[in-house]
Formats: sequence, C-alpha cells, structure tokens
Amino acid sequence: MMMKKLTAFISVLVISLSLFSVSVSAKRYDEGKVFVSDKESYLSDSEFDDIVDTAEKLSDKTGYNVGIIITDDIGSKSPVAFSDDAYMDVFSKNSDGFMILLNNDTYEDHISTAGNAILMYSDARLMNTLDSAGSYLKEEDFYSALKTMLGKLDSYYDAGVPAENEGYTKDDIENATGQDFLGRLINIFHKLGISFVIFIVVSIVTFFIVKSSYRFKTAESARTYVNKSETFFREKSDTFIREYTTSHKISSDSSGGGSRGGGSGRVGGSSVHRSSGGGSFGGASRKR
Amino acid sequence: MTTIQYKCPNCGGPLQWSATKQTFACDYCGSEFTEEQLKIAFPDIEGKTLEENVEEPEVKEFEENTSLYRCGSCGAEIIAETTTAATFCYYCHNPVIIEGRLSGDYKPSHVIPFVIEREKALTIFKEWCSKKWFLPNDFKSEQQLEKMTGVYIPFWLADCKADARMTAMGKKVNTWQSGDRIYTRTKEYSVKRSAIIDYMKVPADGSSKAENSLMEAIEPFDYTAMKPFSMSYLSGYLAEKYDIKNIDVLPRIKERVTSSSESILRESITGYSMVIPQNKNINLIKTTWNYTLFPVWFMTYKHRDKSYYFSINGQTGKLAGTPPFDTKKGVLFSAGIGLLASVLLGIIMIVGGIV
Repeated sequence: MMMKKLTAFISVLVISLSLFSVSVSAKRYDEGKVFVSDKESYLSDSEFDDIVDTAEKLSDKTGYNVGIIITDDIGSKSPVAFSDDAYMDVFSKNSDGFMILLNNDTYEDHISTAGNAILMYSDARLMNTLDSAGSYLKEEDFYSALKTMLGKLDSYYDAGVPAENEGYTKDDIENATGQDFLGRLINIFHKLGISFVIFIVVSIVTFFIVKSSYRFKTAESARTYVNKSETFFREKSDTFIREYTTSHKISSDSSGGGSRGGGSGRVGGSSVHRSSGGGSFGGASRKR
Repeated sequence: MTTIQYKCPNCGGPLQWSATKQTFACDYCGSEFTEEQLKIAFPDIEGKTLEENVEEPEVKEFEENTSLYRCGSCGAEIIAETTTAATFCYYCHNPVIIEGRLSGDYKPSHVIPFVIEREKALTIFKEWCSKKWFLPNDFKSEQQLEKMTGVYIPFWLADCKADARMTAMGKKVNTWQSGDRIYTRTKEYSVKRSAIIDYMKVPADGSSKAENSLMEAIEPFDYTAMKPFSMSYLSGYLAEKYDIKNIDVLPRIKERVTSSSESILRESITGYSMVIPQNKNINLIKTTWNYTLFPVWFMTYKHRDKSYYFSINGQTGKLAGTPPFDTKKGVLFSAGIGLLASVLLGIIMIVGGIV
C-alpha cells in the first residue's frame, strides 16, 4: 500500500516537473552564422523554428551573422552594451552582421550592427526597422515583430548600400572609432583634455572639502538636556483634507547610434561607437 | 582685599586640586586631603559671606576693572581683574584664591572639579593636532603649548519647560503607470503637534571673556559629577565669577531650546512623502536657574596676526576650536589628489580600450 502511494507520488512529481520544465525551457539555436535565444520562451516551438529558418535564409543571402536575443534580464548593462557584448560573445570581433535585442527588462529594444552591416544598415534604416515592429513589440507579439524586422532588413539588403554610405569602407568605421594612428592621437588628446578637467575639478573640490573640515564644528544640540520622563505630547493629530490625482503621458523616445564611453563618430549615415570589448558597432535603439 | 591659600596641615605647603586623584594634594610633603578634611582643617574660610570678606581696594588709582591683592605666601602684590576669583602669584607661583569674589550673589551652588589635568589636556591637544595635516608647522611648538590655562568658567544652568506647538501640511504621494500614462495621487493632511518638553540644566556661560560658541562646542558636561561648591576646588586653577546675569543669557538658552524643540516636533511627523511647516510657536515656561563653575582648559594661538581660540572640556576632554589652515599644504595636497584622479582615469581609459 505504502509502496503504491510512493510510486504514485513520484510519478506525479516527475510528470509535473517535466511539464514545468517544458513550459519554462529556454529555446536556443546556435549554428554557423545564426544565433537565436529565447530564454523565457516567448515564442512557441513552431514560431521559434520559423524565426530560425528566416534568419538562416537571410544569413545565407547576405553572408552576415544574424543574432536574435529575447530576454527579461540584461543585468546592469545598457541595451547597447548588452547587445554589443552579446554579438562579440557569439560571433567574432571583426565580422559582418547584426544582433537584434528584444529587451523585456528595460523595454528599450536595440539592433547592433557590425562590419559591413554598419554600412548596409544606416541609422535611418535601423530606426525604420524598429519602428515597423513598434506596435507588435508593445503588444509583446515578438514573433510578428521579428518577422517584420527580418523582412525589413532583407529588403534593405536588396536595395543595396544607402547613398549616404556609398564609398565608405570598414577602415572608415575603424577610423571613426579612433582605431587609426591619427584617430588614436586625437582621441588621446581628447582624453588628456578630459583628464585635465578632472584634475582641476577634483583639486578644487578637494581643497574646499579639506578647508571646510577646518571650520568650527557646530555646538551641541540642546536635545542633550531633554528630560524624557517629564516630556509629553498634548496633541498629535493628522486630519485628512483632500485627495487629487494627476496624470501625464509617457514620452516614447527613439534614438539612433547609441554610444557609450569609447570613441564614437559617423560614417556617412551610420553612427558608430566602440564597445568595451574593443569592437566597432553601429546600431539604433527604440523605447516601447 | 585679602586672599586665601589652602596650606597643607602637615607641612604648610600650598594645596592644589589634583584632577587625577580627585583630592587636594601637597606637592611638598605628598599629603592628600578630601574636601571634608579641608573643611575641618579650615573652618573659618568656607561659608563666609560677601559682606564679611569684602575690603576696600588698596590702591584707589587702579582702573575700574583691576584690583590689587597680596599673596599669602610671599607677600607680593598681585594685580587681577575684578572678575578673577582664583589665580597664581606671579612671583612664587603659589595658587591664590581671592576671598569674597565667589560669595554672596556670586557664590556658585555647584562646581564640577577638573578631571583632566594639564598633562592630559596637552596630550589631547597634541593628538588632535596630529590628525590635522594642514596645520602650520610651528603650531605645535612647546612655546604655544605653554600658554594652555585651566580656568573655572561660570555657567548658568536653566531648568525650563518648552510649550511647543507646530502645524504643517503632510502630503502622501503615490505614483503608478497604466498604459502610456503615469498617474500621481496626492493625499493632503493637516498635521498638528503640541508638546511640553522638559529641559534640565541647559548651560550658558556667564563670562564675557569666554567665547559662547566655544563653550557650547565642548558640551556636554557630566552633571552626575557635580559637587556642592567649595572654594577649595579652585586651588591650582584660575577661576572667574560671572559678569553676565542670567537674564542676559536667557536669549541664548531660548534659541537653543527653540531649535531643539522644533526638531523634536518635526521628527514626530512621520509617514509623509513631504511635510510643509505652516506655523510654529515655542514658549519657555517655569525657568529656574543654577549658578555653577565648569572646568575648561584654554589656549590662544596667534598666526599671522589672527588669533585662534581652543578649549578643552576639563571633565570629558572634548576639544573645540578653529585650527589655522596652511593654504600651501592644502593646495599641494588637493593638486596631488587631482593628479591621482586624472592618472587613474587615464589608466582606466587605456585598460578599458577607450583610447
């Protein structure tokens, strides 16, 4: 009898755990030039497979790395940094491609572009791509959003490099982010300027902090002399008067070419920046 | 006017109050006496009234604020200000208590004897200086330290009650998001507080020579060590009688009590996102006074024609004062910190691959 109950309990437990693990199992595809991660299973199995298939086709056609991440947690990083770093982790530093980040943590989606994809996908094209999926993203219909975005990126590839980016090369991107000697030198002088400003500001602030510590310390409060046993409140009243509610609309900001910390600049119609890992990236963000 | 010297009943040498031993000690024969033993040994000195002791000034032409006294040990004449109650003979360096100065209306009800002796006070001052990097180099010279003086300062202690009332508006604010809008709900409350706050022995110095802020900064004194006044405690130190009456220190007491009462009322208003004070009214009632002598070590330092004053609580060792600031040292130090910060920033930028 006891054995039967135990067997039944274990069976229920195993089935429950397996069902649970199915419902929350992360979806991940990492083959060749395509990477798709859906950690919280926002996409159904068939939707996930379809997105992988679309990404594979786009990658085959363009030769680009195609990365897609849907996540609830970008840690303490900014969407730009998360997306850039993810691209660097999954693909190689100087490769061509892009990483689409659907960010359910801070609700700011981002596309990072690298190598020739920076030239192919100008800021305007990336913003259009993000805007085209805006309504789907708001409704958290990530399948439709990704289909729309991949379709848009596909059609832009067909249209060729935008006129404003024609004539530019990967070297121009590296130069714009401070990779060549002259660029490095300019950057060094730029940083030296920052260092000098920091030197002046820190010195002045330190001087005044030190000097203020030599000022006369304030007198002892008379609270030291309060006789608590003979102190009492005669009235303590909090009377409700009124209540009112106001509201305002949240502004929906869009920004192209996020830059953080490192060298940044423009190549034709694409803004570029350097990630902390040392890679050059283009990109655009959009708040939902 | 006569002077008093407590002499050792054993050898006749001068007796001084020993802050460390908390007894009256003779430096000559090493004898020690308690206050009770002295009262028995000198029954004629303790408890005399002002009328009994006051004599006419010996020299009429002395200015209004100085008087001449005769040292009981060597017979030398001592010049002292009219507020001085205890001092030293300039010639034989024996302690001198000027009789009658602290009697009658000027007789304190209590005294807190010195606990911190001169050597300890000097150590406290030196330790405090060692933590100050930007003092002028000559600041800690022995010549300066010799000027440290132990003085019994007259204090008025006020017992009073504060009738404190305050009205304010309290606001509780909640914010939430729904769709593409942010909503803010504000609830307003009328807040009233009224309290009777009892204050015991709020001190205010009654000497025009002592800087008020300096005296307040070395508070508090431990009142549990307060003793009924006896002139014998003054032996070995300088002492002053009050020249500011209690009625004249009342505004200072009121200011401190008002500020403290306001903060007590304000702290009782809790649970609001925002509090906007509207009215406050604080009145002092039932003020009674005690006149006491507190022990204080003083030092004055002159640096580039500017005087800096320091005081140390002669009971707790708490130090207060404005130290002189060596601008050259300050600039060098600040520039060093600034340089370090900019170099660190440079390293971070290079290591981080930003440059």
